[in-house]
Amino acid sequence: MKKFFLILIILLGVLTIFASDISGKIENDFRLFVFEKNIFMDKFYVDMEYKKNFNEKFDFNLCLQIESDYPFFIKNIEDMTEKENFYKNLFKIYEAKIFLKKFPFDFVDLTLGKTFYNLGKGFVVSPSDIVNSDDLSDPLRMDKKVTNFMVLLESYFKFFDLNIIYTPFFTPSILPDGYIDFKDYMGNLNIKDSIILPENIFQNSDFFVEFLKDINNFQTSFFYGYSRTKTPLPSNIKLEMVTPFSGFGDVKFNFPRISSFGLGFSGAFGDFSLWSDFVGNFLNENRFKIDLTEIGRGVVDTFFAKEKIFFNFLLGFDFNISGKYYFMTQYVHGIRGTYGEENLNDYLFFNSRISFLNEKIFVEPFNFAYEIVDWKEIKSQGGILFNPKITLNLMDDFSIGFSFFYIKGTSGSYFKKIEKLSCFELTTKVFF
Amino acid sequence: MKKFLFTIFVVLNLLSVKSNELKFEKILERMDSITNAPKDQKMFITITLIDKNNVQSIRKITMYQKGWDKRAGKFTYPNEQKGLGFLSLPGNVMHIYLPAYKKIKNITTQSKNGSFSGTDFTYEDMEMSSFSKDYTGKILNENDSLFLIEIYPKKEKNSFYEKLQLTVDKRFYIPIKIEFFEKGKCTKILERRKIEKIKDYYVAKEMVMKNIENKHQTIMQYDSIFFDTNLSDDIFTDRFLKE
Repeated sequence: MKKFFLILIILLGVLTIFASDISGKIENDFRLFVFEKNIFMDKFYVDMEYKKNFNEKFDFNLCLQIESDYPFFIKNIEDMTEKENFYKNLFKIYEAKIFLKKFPFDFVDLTLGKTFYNLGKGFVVSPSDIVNSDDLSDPLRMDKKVTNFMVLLESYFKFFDLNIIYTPFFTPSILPDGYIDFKDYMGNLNIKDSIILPENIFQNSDFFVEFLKDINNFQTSFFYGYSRTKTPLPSNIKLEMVTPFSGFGDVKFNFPRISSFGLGFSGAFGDFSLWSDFVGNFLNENRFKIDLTEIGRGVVDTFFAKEKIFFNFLLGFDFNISGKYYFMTQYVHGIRGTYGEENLNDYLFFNSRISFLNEKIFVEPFNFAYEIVDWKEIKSQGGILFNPKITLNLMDDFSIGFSFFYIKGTSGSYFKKIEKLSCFELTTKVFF
Repeated sequence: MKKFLFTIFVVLNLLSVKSNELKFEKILERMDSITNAPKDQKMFITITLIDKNNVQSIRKITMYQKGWDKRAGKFTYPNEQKGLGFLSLPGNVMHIYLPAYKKIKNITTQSKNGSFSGTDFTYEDMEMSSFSKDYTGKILNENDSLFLIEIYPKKEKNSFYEKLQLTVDKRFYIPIKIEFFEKGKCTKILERRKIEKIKDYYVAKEMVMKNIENKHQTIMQYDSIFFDTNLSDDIFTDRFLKE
């Protein structure tokens, strides 16, 4: 708690000194869960961005984030003596980068530092956005990214643009609570797991190249990415049986190399905006080994993905009527952090928004996502996320949002895993 | 004799109509030459939104304009919208930049009728246009100091307005009042005030757009304006929006 206030005081001090160059947001999300044991969550976010324009060709950007939430970690009297158990605070440098315009040549802009870059054309989520890992810690916020250090070269040629991205340090996704429960798979075995991270600079490095071309108000792009899976995949399980019915298991996870070829387009067709992403992925490894030598058997190969090749795609459009009514539909094959064709489900997102009083009030009555596990069993297998919302922009730089999340899914669906997060949510935002 | 007089009457009428048409076209061309006379402009603009209860909110934009068909702008206030950019190019091309996602979005024809950041201006109102190239019309009335003209958008303009009625000040050839018509009725009125000569150009330093239906109004004021500073073509690109 002390640490949090100390950081806040320092930030406010900096804010006073550099007031004109600093902007940001203070957000509070209060959730009242419908099905959770801990019935509420109260989270504060402070985003602070400092931008310094040294001259026309040289910018520096710093984005700091503080997260403070209020989960209960109290199980005994001792726990109640630790302030950290009442408030869990996180301070991070989200972005810190320099931007060099027209460097080293007139047609090139260079960005160096910790930041994020989106390759996809999709709305909020896109399977093409593979440069940065996803922050999956809050499944109700689908747009959060983990930033990492990158060298970004944006080149503007006469007939096309070419972007080259190099990230030297591998950064995996932040996983949600209860990401994997070994009991689901291993029954009575006592399981421990370990992560194998890339070891040297070559193994850590990811590389992306993107061509972009505008044709008659129609943005097209093609990219190639040589990276890694962002969530861990099993590589090896070593089993040691103590009795015929119980034993130990040691599971090793790694992040296999993945090559991705992507196509994207977005544009306006009369009254519609249309966008699409298509990605072909080639996994280096699609199998893991079960080591049974300790119990007198051999090593068995098995698969986490039947084929090394799998495809993600996305198609979306939006439509606006008289500037007051907005509708958006997006179909996505495969959600964030899943690999292998048989592990990918389909998702249909629908968003509607009506504005009142010159955008002072936004009502979103029919926001929902529908998950399809198996097209043949579309009625009996799948999931739904329903999220109606009202946002009041009562004055400049201040808004209050009230929404409801109802999540339900059958086995095999992603929504089944997060259905306990069904909640009422109150969000307040202050921009400075 | 009767036949001869009738022929003369018809010819004179035709000539009068033709002369009115020519006069109308000249007015539009003159307006274009005044409105789009500067080679380029850099403007710092404050937009004040006032609702029917007199509650105000503020927007600030830095806007760039080159010729009559290129315009780019970036919001600098409120902080919620800081960094949001827009780009208007020839051929009904309009892009907006969403800094939170670092993505550029194309604006559709329908979206152009949407409110420009909660103001009474639409994206179409913020788009560059040429009166003489994008509209046809006629003179409705004229006195010593003003023209009252009615203009209709050509099909390729993809406009949401059925027609506009312009009151043009003969001294500057600037429309000091524009009435916007949709489905047979006037929905908005734009008034141009505080006309000043800056450098060699006449500029209305204040524009007031009144929404007749919801009694909301938007005042757009130029805090400062710079003409002919040789703005680079680089400004009117997605590259500039992303900076």
